[in-house]
Amino acid sequence: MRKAVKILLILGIVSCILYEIYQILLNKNSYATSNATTQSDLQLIARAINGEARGESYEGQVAVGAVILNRVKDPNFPNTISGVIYQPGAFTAVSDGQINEPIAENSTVMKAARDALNGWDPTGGCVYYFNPNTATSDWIWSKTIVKTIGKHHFCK
Amino acid sequence: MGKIKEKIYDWKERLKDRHMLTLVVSFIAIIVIMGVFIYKKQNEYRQVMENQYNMAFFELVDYVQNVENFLAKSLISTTPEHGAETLTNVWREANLASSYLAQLPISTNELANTSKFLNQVSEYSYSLSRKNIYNEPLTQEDLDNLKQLHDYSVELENTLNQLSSDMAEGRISWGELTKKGRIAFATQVSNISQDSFKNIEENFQEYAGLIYDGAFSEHITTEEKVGLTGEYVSEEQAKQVAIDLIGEEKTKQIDSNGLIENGEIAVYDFYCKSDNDNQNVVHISISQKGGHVVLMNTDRNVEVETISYEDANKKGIEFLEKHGFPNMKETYYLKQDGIITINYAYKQNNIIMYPDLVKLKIALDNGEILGMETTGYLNSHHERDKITPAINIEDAKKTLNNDLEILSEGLAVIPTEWRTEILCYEFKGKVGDTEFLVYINAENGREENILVIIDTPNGILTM
Repeated sequence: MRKAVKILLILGIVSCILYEIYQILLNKNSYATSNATTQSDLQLIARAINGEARGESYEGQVAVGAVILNRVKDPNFPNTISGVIYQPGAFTAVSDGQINEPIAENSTVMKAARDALNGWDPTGGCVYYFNPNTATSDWIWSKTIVKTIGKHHFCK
Repeated sequence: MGKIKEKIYDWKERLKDRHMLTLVVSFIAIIVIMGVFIYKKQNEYRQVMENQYNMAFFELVDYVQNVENFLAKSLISTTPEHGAETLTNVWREANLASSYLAQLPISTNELANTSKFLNQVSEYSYSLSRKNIYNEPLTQEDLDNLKQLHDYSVELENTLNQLSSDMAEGRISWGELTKKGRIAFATQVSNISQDSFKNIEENFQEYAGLIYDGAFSEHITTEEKVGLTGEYVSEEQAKQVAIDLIGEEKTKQIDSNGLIENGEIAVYDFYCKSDNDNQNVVHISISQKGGHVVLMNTDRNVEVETISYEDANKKGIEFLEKHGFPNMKETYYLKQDGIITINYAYKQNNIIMYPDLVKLKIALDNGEILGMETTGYLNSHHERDKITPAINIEDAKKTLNNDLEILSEGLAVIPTEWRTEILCYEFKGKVGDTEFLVYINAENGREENILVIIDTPNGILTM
């Protein structure tokens, strides 16, 4: 009995340490190597899309970019792109730091960000989106859902 | 080795005797768990700080870009009203820029000169705008000062853009930037002291303050979408419009996503596959009212560019004519990764209607249309009557800056911030090596807008 407790304790400690090592390794990303020429806003949107909708379809990625730009135009949100993206608590990718992941110049998210900046808006003017499987607030369900793209519900 | 093992065993046995082993082990466990918690919390705080720095930095970049842009406009503005407006904008943007600069984690003495520059721009432009309001003309000295300030702002902007690119690609982080920033801002300061406005042309090329959208494309959500005409269509009819758009032969499979009622425009959504694998899904939205194409988009890799801008433009115009958009004229374009995005505006009696905007995305390998966006057109397109200017073009020309060497002239309708349209004379001209578009109201001769044209290898854009 005692032996079992001891083994459990040691296992617990070891797994804690391993988890931390894994976390530290995860933070050390390989760096992108392409040339830097484009504007900061484009890169910022692309990184936000990368953090928020990496596994989504191309349309889903453009949609996330469009929501950011719709917020810039909406009086309820900050008036600048960086103001919207870094608004505290607005995007999970910002809170957990996924937005800082480097992206390559010719990646799909850059193209998606460019399309969004050029005015392509597959959401029809939405300013919110959420993943119904992970959404934690009930309030978000009170919004009118316009459309579902991949895992995200887009709403007004 | 064996001795240490023996000692540990010995220690363990002694602890065991007094029932201390469990205590010690759980003590260690508690410390480790606490350590993990503290580490995690600390990580979280660091992330919050990092985000704040990032926000301040990107705000700064945007405001410096605006300062630079408004300074450029103030250089060629001639009417006191518009001049005052532009200078007030410089004042505000420079003020905000300096407040965000102050939030960066870089010691104040490193940034002293940059900060001083922004404050000077701010105060100086404020005093000039007062001058303008009281109808005092700007002296040559004022203009020279403005030009110099503008050159410095271009330098600053270039430095910031470089830092921004470095950060985006992970070459530097905020921790390092406190060091790197020192160097970058220091060179910036030394550049300021040098005479740096020899290559203003080059600077205009380099700074990537591109508006991706063309100048008049901001979608004005009009109450009534005047371009959205026609009877309501059924889903089947909408599907046929989508198939015609892609081309029957390219439509392997088309799936309906039903009616999307709650967006800006009620649309039927379709996903079209042009080959059998799941690649290259084309998303198409067709309006319920009138069966207009609202949006079409897809992405694919374009490896080689084999067709030119002119050919792509020709294909675009053919495509527009074929799908119910006649008399469209190209205005701005942007080329990236083998895909060109061209803005088209409606042309009525040789007058360009900038609010009636359609954008096309064309692949430069085979000229395939990859995307289409018509919200601007659907919001505002109609045949305008009463489009005759009240003043003649010679009078309009008199209000222009004498330094502006006119390259072309014409009439255009431009949208305003107040959701109305104004008929203007559009003059394209040159001051030095920089090209401008100047809009003079055709009713009262007021200077409505000035745009800087940036002709880069990747496209013609305006600011």
